[in-house]
Amino acid sequence: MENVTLKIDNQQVEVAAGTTILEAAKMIGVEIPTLCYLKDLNEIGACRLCVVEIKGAKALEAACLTEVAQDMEVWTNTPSVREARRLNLELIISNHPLECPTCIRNTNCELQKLAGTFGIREVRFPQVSVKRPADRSSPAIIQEPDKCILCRRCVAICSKVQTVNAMAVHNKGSDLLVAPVSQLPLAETACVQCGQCTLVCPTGALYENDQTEEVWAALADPKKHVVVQTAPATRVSLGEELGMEPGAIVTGQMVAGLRRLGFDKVFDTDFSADLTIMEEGSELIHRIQTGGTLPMLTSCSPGWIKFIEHFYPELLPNLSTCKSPQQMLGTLTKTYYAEKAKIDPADIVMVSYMPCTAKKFEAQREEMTDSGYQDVDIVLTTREVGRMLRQSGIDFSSLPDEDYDDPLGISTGAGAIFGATGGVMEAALRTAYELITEEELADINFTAVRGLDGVKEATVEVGELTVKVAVAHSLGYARELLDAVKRGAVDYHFIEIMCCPGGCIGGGGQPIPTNLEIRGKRIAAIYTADERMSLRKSHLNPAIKELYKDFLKEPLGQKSHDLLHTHYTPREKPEPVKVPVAKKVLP
Amino acid sequence: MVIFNSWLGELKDNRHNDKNKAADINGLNVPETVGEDKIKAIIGWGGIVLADDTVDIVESMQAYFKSVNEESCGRCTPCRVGTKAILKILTSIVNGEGEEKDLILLSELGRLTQNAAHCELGRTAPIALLQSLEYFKDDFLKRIENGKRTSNGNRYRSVLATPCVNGCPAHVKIPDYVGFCDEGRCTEALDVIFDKTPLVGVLGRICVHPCEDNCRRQNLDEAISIRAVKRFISDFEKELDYTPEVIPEPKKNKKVAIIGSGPAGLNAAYQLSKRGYDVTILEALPVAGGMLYAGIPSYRLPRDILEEEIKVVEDMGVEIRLNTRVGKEVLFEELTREYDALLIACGLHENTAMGVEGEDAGYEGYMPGVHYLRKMNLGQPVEIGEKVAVVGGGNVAMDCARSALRLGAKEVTLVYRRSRAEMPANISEIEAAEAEAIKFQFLTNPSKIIAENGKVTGLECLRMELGEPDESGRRRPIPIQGSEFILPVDTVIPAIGQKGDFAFLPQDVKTKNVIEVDPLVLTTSVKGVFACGDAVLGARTVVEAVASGNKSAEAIDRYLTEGKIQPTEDDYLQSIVEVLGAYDPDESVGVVGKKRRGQETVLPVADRVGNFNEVELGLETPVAIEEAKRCLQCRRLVLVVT
Repeated sequence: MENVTLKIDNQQVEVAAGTTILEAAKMIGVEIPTLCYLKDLNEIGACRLCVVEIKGAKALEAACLTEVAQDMEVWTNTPSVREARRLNLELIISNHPLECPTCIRNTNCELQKLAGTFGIREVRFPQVSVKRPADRSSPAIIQEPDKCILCRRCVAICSKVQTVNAMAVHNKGSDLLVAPVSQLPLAETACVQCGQCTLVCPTGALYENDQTEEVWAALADPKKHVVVQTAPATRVSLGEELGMEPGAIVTGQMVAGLRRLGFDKVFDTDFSADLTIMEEGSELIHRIQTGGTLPMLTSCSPGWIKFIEHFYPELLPNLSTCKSPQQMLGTLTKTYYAEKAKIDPADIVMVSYMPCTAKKFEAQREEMTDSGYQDVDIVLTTREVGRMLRQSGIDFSSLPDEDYDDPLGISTGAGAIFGATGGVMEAALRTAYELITEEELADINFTAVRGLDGVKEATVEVGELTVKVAVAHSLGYARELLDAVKRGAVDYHFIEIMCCPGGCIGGGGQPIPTNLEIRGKRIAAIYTADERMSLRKSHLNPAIKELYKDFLKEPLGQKSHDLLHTHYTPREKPEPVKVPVAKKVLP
Repeated sequence: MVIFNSWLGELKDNRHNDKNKAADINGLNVPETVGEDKIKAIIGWGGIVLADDTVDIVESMQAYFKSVNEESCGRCTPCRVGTKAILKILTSIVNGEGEEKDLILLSELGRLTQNAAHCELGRTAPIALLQSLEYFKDDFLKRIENGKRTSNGNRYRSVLATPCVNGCPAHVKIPDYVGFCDEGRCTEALDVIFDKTPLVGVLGRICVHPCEDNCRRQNLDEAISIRAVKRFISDFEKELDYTPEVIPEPKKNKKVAIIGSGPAGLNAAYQLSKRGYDVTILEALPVAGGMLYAGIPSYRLPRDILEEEIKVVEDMGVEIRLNTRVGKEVLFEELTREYDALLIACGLHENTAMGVEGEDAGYEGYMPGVHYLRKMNLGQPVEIGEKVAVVGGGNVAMDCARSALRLGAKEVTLVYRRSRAEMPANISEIEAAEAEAIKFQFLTNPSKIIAENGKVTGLECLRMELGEPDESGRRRPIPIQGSEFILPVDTVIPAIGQKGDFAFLPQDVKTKNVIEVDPLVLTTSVKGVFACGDAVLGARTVVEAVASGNKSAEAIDRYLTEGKIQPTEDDYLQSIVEVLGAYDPDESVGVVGKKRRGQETVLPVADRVGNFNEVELGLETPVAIEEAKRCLQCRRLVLVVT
């Protein structure tokens, strides 16, 4: 596309035609304030914080909406621009509860930050909005409409990226409302609890159901044996939540920190990720050899599971019967480990630390009680674990590295990469290749399935079999792939689907902000963590071998069937709702 | 007498002058009343016009902002929150609870909204407020000082002066649905259109979109492709199987019969059944849709679209009796006897004669356009030759010519007595015909049909030149003596106009070329008998038929509930908008950033011949969204104080 030259704040800039003033200003180092803007996803000029003066324009224009033009002259910081921004902020705040100290987003709220920046010291305008109760119907996501500033970012993410359309804009004028579709309680919609909305909400209007107090209570209870498991993506996120650079790898310090919080055992979900590869890999081989339903779809991501139950129930037979690594570890902790450690499983509290809000939903599913108890009791997200560590006063960065506890803490690099999109696929290929061919892989890095492209595919020669695989992340891209499967346009053997953009490292329970650049850094860190491991293939994990020898006997055996596999059932198909999307982008 | 006027220009303030000398002011020539109420003030995007010194300016501002707030879409902060805060502050002042510092807040909020709102509604609403704070500050201060006072009983009515809506005969709320489309709320966009008509896919395809001629965006670059956006909304929601749920009012237990199921009759039926009437449509043809079915070829309007939208009307309980010609299967008198009201929406289904020799000779190869299209559209065999001449320059002529090509004609020539610039057909139709290699003989008029053995062999024509403009404003074609020449054709299709067949009407229903009605309320010379559509307008557009049908429903409703028929308040308010002028082609819109208008995907020309596949395929999703985004949302509000 051709370039245009314009002046922003008297500086000449040359940018591609079609660029917005907002993006062009960034190129000369001017960050125009915004509250509703999400690049390519929500450019609606709603908050009017980004207004600028343009030569020839009668009024101020929104920089997020207005494209540059040849010889345009723009001023981003004039008295009238500043007055408009201040007044807009004052108006927004006049309808916003002044509850900063008790708000979950205190100190990490975009509105609060801008109010500080612009020095809003009083609110002179009357409140005109109506008070509305919070929606606490869901296990994972809470909505407080009073704190909503009607930026519609959640609607954009939910409809354009996830294509779930659980959130919608209702009414008009001063009755305008952002609420679940049909104004139902969120739990009664097709919301998959992915929490992507909580990542983009500029205020405390959408957030995770905070369960830290339940964990503190368990830790304080001397009768309870409190075990924690940490998901693959957590080791590249917790440091960031606690002030380190995005992509900081903090595996050992995380283990140390959790121990200091009082957990009796710190296990690693990477272990059960390795186990998933054994079970799921065997299932795939079994399906291919016996003419079972293909392509097989991965089943690790609980948001994705709820999505398929609502929107593609006809593809449920394609779904792997494997439980997710979180649930496998929960079950094993309350059976295998309890037996080994001679602890009454009734006294075990299984806490899992996940990058994911949907895991809160998964843990309380009725299918997830194969140990005889609720397999996972409480799920914490990165933001909650960060809160607990800050509350405890632990200086995280000075913690020593510590190792996970045996036996459910031993893992390989293959388990770690589960945290990135394509990771499950790569881990599965590493193992399947060697188990089928009984040869060592020359290069274990399957780079074709890595990276942030929405849909990735690869063809791998495994002995005499040509295995066709595909990977999708974010439900919008998953939908694209599933529609192709339904049309019969593709003939993959195995498809990995992760609900969240970037995979689990971009999960809804991750640090705020999470954006494309940060997702990339976390992904890079995950592969670094993999490379640092001495073992990088699941089938070589000695603890997994021992588990099979002592307890499970064999992949897909009776015990595995009873404890590690499950079936999902169709859910109510939501009313067809759709939002036209100009182009597919990831947040 | 106007005592204060700031409307779009120089300020004239005669409040403090000797009232008797104040007669000469550049007052707007606005109507003096709304119904029986005298207009005392007009407040709106142009400023304040005061014609009576008893007007309570503070209360008027409160009423104005109440309306602004009701019209606000709520997207941007200044309009959603700002105008509501203005309203709240004004209300407290009116209630005697105001403080002097409120005036500062009002002017700050006014300035913000004017400067920083997203669209014209927010940007124009504060103009009057800021003026009132400047020129009527004492009124505000007095109110603050003296507290609440009894209202002087003024009545406030508001009306939107939106250029495109004003251009649309049916007054479909265009910025609302385009705005919803921009926001991705296509379901609600469709609901907005459904308020006026269920023929969304129909109009989205074949409307001649007079709205676009009034689009303010063209002052900057090009008009919004409003029709195409409407079609996008219709197609998008059809794919999701969504049809708005229309909840009719409680049954009124009154029966209305409608003669004709064309766009006028269908819309009248739709609106009447929404209001709780039992509606029966009598349709002479074996299909419903009137000219939509019998006139428009399916490459412009696929039949499944039309049928689905007719079904919406039927699903509301409207009975359409096909093959029921009034005067034959049922008598007009029976209808007037059995029904509480009768609406004639029979359209114009006969051809206007060219008045040339050979026209009435019954030659093989001579086919009046309307008959030919009807036969073709009803699936009856049509004998089309190899070389076809179509006479006329309107959309029907285009339909005849383009259809002939699809029916197998090798060469189609369009004969038109003026030049291309004067053609009444839509430019897009003309361009499509040109693309399909239809030949044009401009400044040419037929003088005689040539035949051998009763079969057409040619059309004798005369060359014309353009003289002075006639009453239609177009230059009058004058024959050039001795310029006769013969077009060798085997088929001649005249399509120069339509007329009605009103033989079924009793004598007391007066007709001239069309049925005579009171244009404001569509009553005929017989009580309880109304008429609408082409039958009263002459051969016009679908959207005018839709508007006319809606208007007749409104009039019938008033006739059946109140027993009398007068223009509505809305009629008066619309006439005020007309005077104030909703669209000014010379206005500088003050928006930067030119953007070309979105183009519809079209079927390649090579794929069009020999079939009736739809030619225009609508806007691709990204184009449609971009197009909706181009809309300037020119919603300007006028408050009329009486």
